[in-house]
Amino acid sequence: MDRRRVQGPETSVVPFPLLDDAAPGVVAPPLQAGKRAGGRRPEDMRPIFLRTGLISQASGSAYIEMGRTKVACAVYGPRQIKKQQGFSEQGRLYCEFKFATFACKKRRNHQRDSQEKEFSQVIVQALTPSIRLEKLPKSVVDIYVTVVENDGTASCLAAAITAASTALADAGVEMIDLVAAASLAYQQRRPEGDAPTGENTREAGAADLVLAQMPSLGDVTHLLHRGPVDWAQMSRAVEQCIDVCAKIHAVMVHSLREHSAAEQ
Amino acid sequence: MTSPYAFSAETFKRVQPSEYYRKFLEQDVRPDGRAFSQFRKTILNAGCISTANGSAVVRIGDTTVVCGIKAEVAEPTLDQPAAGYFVPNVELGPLCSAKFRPGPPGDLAQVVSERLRKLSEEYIAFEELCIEPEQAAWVVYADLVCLNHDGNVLDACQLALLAALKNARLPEAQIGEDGIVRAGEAFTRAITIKRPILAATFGLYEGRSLLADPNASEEPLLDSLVTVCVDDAEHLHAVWKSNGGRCSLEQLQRCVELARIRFTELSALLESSAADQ
Amino acid sequence: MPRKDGRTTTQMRAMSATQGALERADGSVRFGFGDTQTMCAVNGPVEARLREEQLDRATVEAVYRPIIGLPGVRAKEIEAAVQTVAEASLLAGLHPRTLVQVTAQCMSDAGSSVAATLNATAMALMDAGLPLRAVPAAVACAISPEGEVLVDPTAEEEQCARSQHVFAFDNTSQEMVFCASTGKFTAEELAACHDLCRAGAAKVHAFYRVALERKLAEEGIVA
Repeated sequence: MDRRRVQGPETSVVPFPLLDDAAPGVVAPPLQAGKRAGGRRPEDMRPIFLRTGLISQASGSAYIEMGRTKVACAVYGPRQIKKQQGFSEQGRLYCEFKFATFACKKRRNHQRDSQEKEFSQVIVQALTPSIRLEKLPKSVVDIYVTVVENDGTASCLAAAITAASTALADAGVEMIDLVAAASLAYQQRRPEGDAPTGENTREAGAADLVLAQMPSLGDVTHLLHRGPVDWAQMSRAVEQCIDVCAKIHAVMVHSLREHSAAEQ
Repeated sequence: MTSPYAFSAETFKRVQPSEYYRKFLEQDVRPDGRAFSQFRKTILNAGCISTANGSAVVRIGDTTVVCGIKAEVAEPTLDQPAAGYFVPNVELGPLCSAKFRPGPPGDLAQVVSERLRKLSEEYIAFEELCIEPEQAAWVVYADLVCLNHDGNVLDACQLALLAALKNARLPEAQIGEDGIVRAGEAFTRAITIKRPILAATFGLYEGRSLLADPNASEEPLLDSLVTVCVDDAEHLHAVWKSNGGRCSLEQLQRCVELARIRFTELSALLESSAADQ
Repeated sequence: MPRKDGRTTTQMRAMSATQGALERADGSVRFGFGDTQTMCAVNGPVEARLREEQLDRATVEAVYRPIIGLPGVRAKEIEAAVQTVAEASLLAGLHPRTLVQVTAQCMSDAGSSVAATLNATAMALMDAGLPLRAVPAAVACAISPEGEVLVDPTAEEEQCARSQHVFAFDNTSQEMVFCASTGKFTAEELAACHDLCRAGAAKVHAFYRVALERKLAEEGIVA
């Protein structure tokens, strides 16, 4: 019973048969003439819209749309760390990732659940190698990510990492390189980049991969893989993701340049 | 040689915000260039989120609010067996401003949520949200997320809420013999809104100057905040005055006049966005 | 048309106030409109926590507890109202970097409980001996479905009312300090409620004076 919110009934359910999309056993439609459901080729990603500076109150912000996935990210900092956390020579990154309650097909709770906490950790791990934290003693940089619409959880995470890195650059935090992230799902033993929700499948042999990379240095900062796969397929998938990361990096640089040109 | 006490404008604004503001008001203008009774540019975009039953994004100046409507089914309460539920909640998280801390909703978010709920009793047809009396009723969750807080969150929230409700579509639902509610495939049923009600917020500076739509830098300097909610038949549905300054009846009536003008502007915006879908 | 309890439309119920009821608080008052009773306690100025202190003025913290159940979002709105009234009366600039805690508890609700709470707050601030700029008095009114304005409504009248209004006025300039009106009403009705409540507030101010004089006489300060 959350006292600080307007209360509805104790429990509520979604009426049948609307939940069937999430039921196991949904099989992705087969390739037709080499193209996927949305007309894309297997290695294509959805068009990206990336804008910085939309949140005027934050030190830096980025808003990204990949197809129907919409993610907003704000960066506050560097700011002073709380006294209780003690002295630290290195700066710290703190991230809070949250799906809006209406972002997914099934309504989410207001409180963060374990998946959102896990994603927060992933974002911190993906971005930490790229930030020059030794230049920010006793400071913390706060990253807040809100997913406004979720069209594919793996691609949501990739979009969040990309947006967070762009927002950090917009905030002027010193970094070695931008971090671009791409996602990829396996279906029926063939890899498909940037899968939206309709193409997700839970059948045996399904797997997905999220890869975060610093493109200029060629260093992978984070790799998250779920599901069974063999090594040959995985290395092909990783290479495919790295190619996509280079394209995403170009988009990030373009939007940052545009924003700084607009400011002058 | 410049006097050692001369500041640049930025420094002056930081060190003496009230004086800085007063200097602008003496010239009959506000720091962002608006006239006293001018509202900021308002943009409305409805139906942008496909995972929600209804949605809208509102920008008033820099203040950005996203509203998403999700509908689920529950048993009605014992004292109102033929009425559905409407649950609005506003989230003012650390994303939108440095003033808010992570965690449960703070004071401002709770007050805004309560005001939206109170106002909703005037325009939501609760009886039409009932599926089967005493057994099943729709619960309409309206969650508003503020993406950027630059003052005057209540106006933006009410506009986003109304636009999202107009945009929302529920499936046709029936309760079966087994007590399970089933819904059709198509989302055709709209949520009935008895009358459109919109809010307009004003601030009073030093008890004299009436300023429309205060932004985040102006709000702490104002000694009163007045919110007026009007509908299309020129009736009032709520008048709230907070912060400890004094306000005369004439100032209140002036707020009502300006709120009516604002209502006409905003309802034109609502109509054009509804027509776009 | 007379009301259920025999009052006229502008007649208020008998007011009552018990001052200094709580020994541990700096100021405490139990104020009532007829059967509606609210207890309010004021503590301060006390030391403020670092994150809530303001360098040039006192911070006011308001807490409201409803009759039954845990305080929810509705209580938060009433806390905001109590804070408005406290800020309107307190000379906050005299006590920088301190905290004034105002705690209100509704004891029984027979209509006009928000107005009773605000009046209890004002009297408690006086009872605590804090220097005040003005003393606000709050009066509630409701407009019945027939269009009559009923001052100081009972719980039943509030339930059936088309709209409910609470206004608070200060005693020095008779200007409005707080307003919360909800329901369905016209601008003319708002003006009518404003004027009727202002007349009612004058009676509440007179009551404050009488209550305070009685208390000071009991303490032997005033003959």
